[in-house]
Amino acid sequence: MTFRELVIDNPLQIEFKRAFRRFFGVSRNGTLNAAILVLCVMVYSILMLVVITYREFMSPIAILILQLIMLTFIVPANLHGAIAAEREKRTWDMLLVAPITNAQIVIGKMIGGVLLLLFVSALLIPATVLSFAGDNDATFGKVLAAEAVVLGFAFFLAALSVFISARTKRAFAAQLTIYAVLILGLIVWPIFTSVLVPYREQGYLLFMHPYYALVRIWDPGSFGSMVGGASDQGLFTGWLQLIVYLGAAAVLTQVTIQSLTNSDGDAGPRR
Amino acid sequence: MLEVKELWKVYGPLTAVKGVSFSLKPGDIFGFIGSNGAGKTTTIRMISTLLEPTHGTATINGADIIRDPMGVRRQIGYMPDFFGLYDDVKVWEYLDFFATIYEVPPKQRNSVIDNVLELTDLTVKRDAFVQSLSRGMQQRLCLARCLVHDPALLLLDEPASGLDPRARAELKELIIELGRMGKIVIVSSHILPELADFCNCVGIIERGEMLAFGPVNQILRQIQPTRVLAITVLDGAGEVRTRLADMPHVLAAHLEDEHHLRVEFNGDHEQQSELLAALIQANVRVVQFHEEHANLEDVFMRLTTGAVQ
Repeated sequence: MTFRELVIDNPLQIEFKRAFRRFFGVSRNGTLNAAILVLCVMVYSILMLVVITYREFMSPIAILILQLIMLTFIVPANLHGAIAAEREKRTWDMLLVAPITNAQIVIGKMIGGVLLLLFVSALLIPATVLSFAGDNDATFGKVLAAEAVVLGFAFFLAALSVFISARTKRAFAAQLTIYAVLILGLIVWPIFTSVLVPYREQGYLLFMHPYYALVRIWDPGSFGSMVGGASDQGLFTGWLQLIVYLGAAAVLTQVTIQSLTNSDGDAGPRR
Repeated sequence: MLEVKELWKVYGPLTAVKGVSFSLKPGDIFGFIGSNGAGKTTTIRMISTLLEPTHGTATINGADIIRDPMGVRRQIGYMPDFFGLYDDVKVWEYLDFFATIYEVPPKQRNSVIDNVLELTDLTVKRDAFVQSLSRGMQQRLCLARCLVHDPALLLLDEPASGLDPRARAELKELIIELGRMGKIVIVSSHILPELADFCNCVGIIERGEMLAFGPVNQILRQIQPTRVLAITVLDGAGEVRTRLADMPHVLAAHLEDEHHLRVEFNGDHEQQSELLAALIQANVRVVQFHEEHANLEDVFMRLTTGAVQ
């Protein structure tokens, strides 16, 4: 499969048009969606005003954490129904009997989510740049490394959402499962680690935790100083996390591609 | 040319399809008949590459469902029994999406879409949103989607379900037209009299086994090898019965009531007319004289037991 077939000429680009219409008043929920959009614009404007007004007290890490929080919710919300909703609406089998490859289907479904996460990230760049003024420790390298963690995690989340969506028959069930996995990974796992694992070893077990990684990149001694040492300090460079997130995303995407099944799930993977 | 060879589908202890084989040529309209759970949909899903057979295979113009599923997908149009359509797209966009998937050259797409819309009588709905269409129109749009790439084989699983009588009649005309265009059409349905109207070939399946397959007339002949004549007389039916028993080609005559008789007859049309002439010459006052034809429903009821798996 070439990049052109997978991305540029992917027929599933029709999803953009559908998503656009859903948000700009053509569908039945148009008014509600327009209201949500106006609310988003207002919230964004307020954020920018706050950053501009209090830029001498701001830090880029706050904006990056905000970006991570937003993406943690937006990416699954956008992609949980990628395949599960097709099954639910009985459109899936008609796609599977067409001469489109599994890779085109999965990548086509992911493109929309990836573009959205890039768009949200791009919106926050001005705030990140402005907030440099309030943090003497802020360096371009740190911001870049932290951004690598945020985007890497968001890509991983996109792949995870489609992976779970491909294994579920209902979009709502897919959404619940994705958030359950996130709660386990981002909340339960750190609690479990802090209770059961010695302080010095916690960093290794939280290597994949994006929020932990962000704080460690910004202030390498933050958790280490609390626990009397930071033997794992070299792990939290941001770039290592990026590689692992992208690697995991690639593996999940590949597994999804190879294991697509029909709407009833009563057959083996589609060939 | 479609060739289905010994298709089997086994789910654990359940055998859904047991060695189904048949072949169809361009222009054939094949009615696939069976009760719910008989194995029709499973067979159709195997031919459409949605399900992999446990054993056996099918080929469409040489493309094998196991070895070359993509080649098969390019040649088939599949309409499932239950289906949905994408929201928030217009009718032409929906068809354009599938035309893109089916690799219809961009320059031809508009004319192809116009043609299939015309064929399915949806031209006026070209710019309507899919969700605004009635059930019958959505059914036709789904059929139009099946046609954008000019497939050799159409697999229509219960296409008439949920349609009103007018929409059914229109769908029937459309299927006949597709047969005339040289496509192989497989239609599964419960509405047997309708199938008999437009199918030139039927298959009856029960518990995964094909009980009968062939041209409609041939199957009817199999279950009713002799002609059955219904005769209504003004009076004296008992006496007429006695006379009939001695007449040539009459195998048996049954008295239904004092006016009606049923006669098992093994002659042809000429001998049938001679029988009528003989009755009239014998001063039998005949009110009605006609041949009773078995229909698909009779065949279906005679061959199947109603058992499901």
